Amino acid sequence: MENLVREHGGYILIAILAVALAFTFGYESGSQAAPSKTIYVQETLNDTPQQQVVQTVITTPLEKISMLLAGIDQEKKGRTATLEVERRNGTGRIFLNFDEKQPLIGNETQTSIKNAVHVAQNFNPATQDALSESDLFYSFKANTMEVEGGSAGAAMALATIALLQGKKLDKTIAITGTVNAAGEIGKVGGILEKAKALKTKGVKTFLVPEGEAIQETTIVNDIEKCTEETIGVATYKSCKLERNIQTIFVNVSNETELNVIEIASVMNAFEKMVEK
Amino acid sequence: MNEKIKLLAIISIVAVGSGLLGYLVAPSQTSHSEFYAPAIIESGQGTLVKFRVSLEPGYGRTLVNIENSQYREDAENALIKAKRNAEEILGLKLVFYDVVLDVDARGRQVGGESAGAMFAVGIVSAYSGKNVREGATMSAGISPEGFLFAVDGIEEKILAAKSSGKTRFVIATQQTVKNEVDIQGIEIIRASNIRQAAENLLT
Repeated sequence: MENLVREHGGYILIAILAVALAFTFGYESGSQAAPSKTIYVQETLNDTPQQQVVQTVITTPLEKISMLLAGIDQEKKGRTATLEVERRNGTGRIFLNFDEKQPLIGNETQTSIKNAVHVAQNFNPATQDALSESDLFYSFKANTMEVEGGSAGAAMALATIALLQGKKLDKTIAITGTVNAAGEIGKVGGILEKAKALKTKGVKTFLVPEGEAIQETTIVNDIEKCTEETIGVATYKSCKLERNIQTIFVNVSNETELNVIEIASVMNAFEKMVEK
Repeated sequence: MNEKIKLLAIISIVAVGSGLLGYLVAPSQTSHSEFYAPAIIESGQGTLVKFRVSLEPGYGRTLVNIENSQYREDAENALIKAKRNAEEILGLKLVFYDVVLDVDARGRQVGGESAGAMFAVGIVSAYSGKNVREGATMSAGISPEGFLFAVDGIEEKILAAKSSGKTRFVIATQQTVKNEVDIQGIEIIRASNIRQAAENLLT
């Protein structure tokens, strides 16, 4: 046996590879699980006084997209999670992957997924067409017990838009913020902690809601002030606490060396994030 | 030299063979099961909710449609556990399938443990091709070992099932039902584990 491995090691390796490859190929063609490609045509009308130019852009939705998300845990520490969105031909349904090895998905997050799909649907005619013929599958990967809250709303909307338009997103750009039905990005907490967590994952640019690139924090210092008074042989000491509230401004960019950009809408964020 | 050619020949034969094997083990069709399960809505009333479980070619995932329902975390946990129970009954791991669940809760929240056991039966039904009997339904919790346990609001659920024309209702052995002797027109069946429940629910 040892001799066999020594003499034909290379062949055995090739054999294993070939067998694995053949099995995968057979499985894929057997299951027909691979979504077939549909082509969507997006027409943009450029209105000029003299002439109308119809620009035709052909878009093919992707099969899968993944995105890095940032959150904070119960101890207010920054954490990252990975969102995966898969697309198959379907009828516009939204599915969530319940996985025993992955965090539970809280109610607010479930609502924000639906909201994100709504924003993606209204993004442009191409995404609307693509969505009506797709089923979307959302799954989260993280080392936490739970994913909860709406702060990944904008990120989920952007992932969905990119998927439906067949565009790739720049992996070095991350975003945090809620999103409303109009595609406006709203404020969230824990920007600095999220930025620190994202930096460890190789993120270079962090898109944050308007007014959140500089974080206002208050530091409360209680200082004990004592006075001593001697009357005769006795010394009286009286103390009182003096509360000193200090407001400081933390520039997230200076603090983390990330390129921090404030962003107002999903539209603006998409222009920044899409790979050219 | 000759040996090398022999080896290459063996490799290619095995590769072709495993390709064929892959093709054969891959599930090529979707199968599904549809049934109604009892639930309690905010007002405390019982109602029947439509469940649709389908098995699609995939990668062992549990995919849940969230368009028409919100899942509370206890329900999420119950569904994850129930899939394992179903795999135990079937005696296999559903690694080549995605289990797709669609509960039409009309936008309401799905909470509690009772969806679990019915989901397990639904998976068994979809895989085996045995339908859930037209007139049968169930409400019970399910332990990781497959034992059934009692759930809340059973009287309202039985009432709702009866008024929707169901004639058989499966509950856990330990379940107590108020005024059980007075219940008529619907047969109450007790089951101690998910296997017994499935036998009573499936055709």
